[in-house]
Amino acid sequence: MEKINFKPTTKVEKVNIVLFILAGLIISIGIGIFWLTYGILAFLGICIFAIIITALSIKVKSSYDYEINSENEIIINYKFINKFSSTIRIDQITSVSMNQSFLEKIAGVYTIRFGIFGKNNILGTNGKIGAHQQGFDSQELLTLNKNKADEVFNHLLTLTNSESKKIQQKEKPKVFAHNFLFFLFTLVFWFLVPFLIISFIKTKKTSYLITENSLVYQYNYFLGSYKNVVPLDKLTNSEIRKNVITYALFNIGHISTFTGGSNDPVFSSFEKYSDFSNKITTYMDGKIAEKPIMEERPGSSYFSTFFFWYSIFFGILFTLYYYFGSNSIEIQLVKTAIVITLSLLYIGGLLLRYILYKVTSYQIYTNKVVDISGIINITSKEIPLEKIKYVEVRQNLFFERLLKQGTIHIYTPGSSSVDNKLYALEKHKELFDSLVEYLEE
Amino acid sequence: MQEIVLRPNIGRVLVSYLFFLVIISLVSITFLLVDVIMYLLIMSIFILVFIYLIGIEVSRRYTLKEKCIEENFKFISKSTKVIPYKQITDISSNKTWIADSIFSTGSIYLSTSGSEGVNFSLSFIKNYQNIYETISQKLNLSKSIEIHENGEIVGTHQKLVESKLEDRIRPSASIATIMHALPTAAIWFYAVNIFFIVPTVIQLLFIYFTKKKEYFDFYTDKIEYYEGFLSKNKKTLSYERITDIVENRSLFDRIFGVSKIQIQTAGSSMPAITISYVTQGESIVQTLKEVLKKHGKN
Repeated sequence: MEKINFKPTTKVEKVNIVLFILAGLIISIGIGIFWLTYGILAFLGICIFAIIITALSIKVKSSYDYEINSENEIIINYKFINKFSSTIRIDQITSVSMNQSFLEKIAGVYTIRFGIFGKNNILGTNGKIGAHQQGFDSQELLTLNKNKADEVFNHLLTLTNSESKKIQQKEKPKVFAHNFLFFLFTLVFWFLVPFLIISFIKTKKTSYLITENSLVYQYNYFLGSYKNVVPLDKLTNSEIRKNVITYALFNIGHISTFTGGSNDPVFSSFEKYSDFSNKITTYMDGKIAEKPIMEERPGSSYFSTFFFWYSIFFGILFTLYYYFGSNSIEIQLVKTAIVITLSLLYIGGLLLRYILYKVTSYQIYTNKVVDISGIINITSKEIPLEKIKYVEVRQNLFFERLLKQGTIHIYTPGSSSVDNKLYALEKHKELFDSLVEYLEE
Repeated sequence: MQEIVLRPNIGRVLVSYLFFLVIISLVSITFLLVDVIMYLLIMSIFILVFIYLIGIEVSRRYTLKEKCIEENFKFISKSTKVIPYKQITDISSNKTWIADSIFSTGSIYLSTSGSEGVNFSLSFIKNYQNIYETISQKLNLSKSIEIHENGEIVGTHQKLVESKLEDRIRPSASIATIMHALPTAAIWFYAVNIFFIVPTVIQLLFIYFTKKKEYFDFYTDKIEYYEGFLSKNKKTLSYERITDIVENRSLFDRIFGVSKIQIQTAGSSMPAITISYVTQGESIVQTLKEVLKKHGKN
């Protein structure tokens, strides 16, 4: 593979200075109408400030050199006051995107970003190159002219094995369905109408693709463009969520996919629930989805443990309210109102937990675990077994040990906290042993 | 491999909770001034929490198995956690100055890929250095190295040889101290205060001796990092786990002719190992790149 060298463009800075001076001119005219001298001085001050800042940012940006070499490395060199050199292995890249903000559209440039495995961010916004070593925003650093951006983007796609060769499935979001909840919201908050219109246009110009080896999300409208490519083999788990209202009305759901290292989804979209999302999960499984080998629901301790601690918590709150305060009528009235509110919260909380207990279920396949839960937003979370790092089984005394149930914690890349919990399972020992056996293999 | 069962040293565990006990005492006294019943209530909650935490530590066991490490405890609640060796990216150890020296204990920390911080720790165990070596060996042996020739993979072999590459890498303690002293000197210039001198001198001496005790050993298959003037820390990083290398030289680094090298793994957004205040920065980066190439990483 041939080597590519490139430097970031400084066109955005040049557009920025023009806009800054124009804004300064308007402010100065405003001041100059009343005090001419101050208006002129303000304009001169703004111009000098803009020139200094722009010169500095152009110098910083042009001090970067990028190279994608024949050994699958991205090498970044920087030299201005500080000296900095970084080598990144391309096989660690989990997603590549090329986007254009409104300002970049004016300047005619694009920004390339990529996510890196094990890092809780995506390069470009607060990402790895420059950012966590140098404190610069690499979104600016990787701004390139159209031709160069295309060349670098395609080169990265080739190297990360995510070329968009053959389209397997293409989907365009249903515009009204996608914005339905936003539409309901704008009926109350009328000032959101412009945002709704922009959102409609953006959705209209959005499409999702599954190619032979990658997921592609892209849009191109008057305010900017975006194209994100995620190699299928970099996906760790996915989540499908369906809102009861939008699902019932439009048969659409929300799918999010995650790559190792990030807590945020790398791919998240409203989709026609049954078709496109199934295609993604099928690709993630590496084979056509099969019937689960085990289907479990949380045991009674899922509700009883919650009931116990929730009741203690509210018991303490009730006691404290009766313990403090004088006996005047006003205070008593306030206290009664608080008690009614607390009682409603207590009963409502218990009711929600009970419904959740009834609707939660876990499906265990030979290659994945699926956690289905949620009341209004029903979420189906898929955890491929090969992405599990380690597992834990816990039994609390109240009431899991007494009822011989256990909670399995499944840790996957992307978070230091527990990612997935399968609550209060009766067959926890069998499942835990199977998972350990799988991990050891 | 025979299973090795370990448990935390209870004396050392109690020492680690000393701070907690001091806080309990202070908070309890505050409540005693307000209300005796409240004091008794708060005290009993604290004592119950304390008993719960100590009970967990007493029942905690770590088991080193053939393919994984298992941690379990059984006190009121019950937990079993299993981590396979192949998921571990970094291993490090820590021995504190006084407490661990008295009880002859230490702690081992294990990190996995794709998440921040330590995921698994074997805390306050006896004979921790031997256990550390046992786990390190398991990590090194669990993967085979690809042998490359003219860019092609021609075979694999298990990692058994651990010959050292170069002389030990040490940071320049004097340059590190001077660079830390510079901002302090600037503060003195504007706010001369005799009370600053003693703590500052202690701090600078601490930096000097800490850096003096810090060193890095480069082996053919791993890097070992040692630090600690009072406490002792050790970290082992297999080349297999390295994702990228960063060399960073600030203005002051360039004036003093030193470099900072950050070695990144997939385990965290923070560098796994930072080699700072070293004069041979470029040659270290070059050596690392060559070693990584031999390991089929690039």
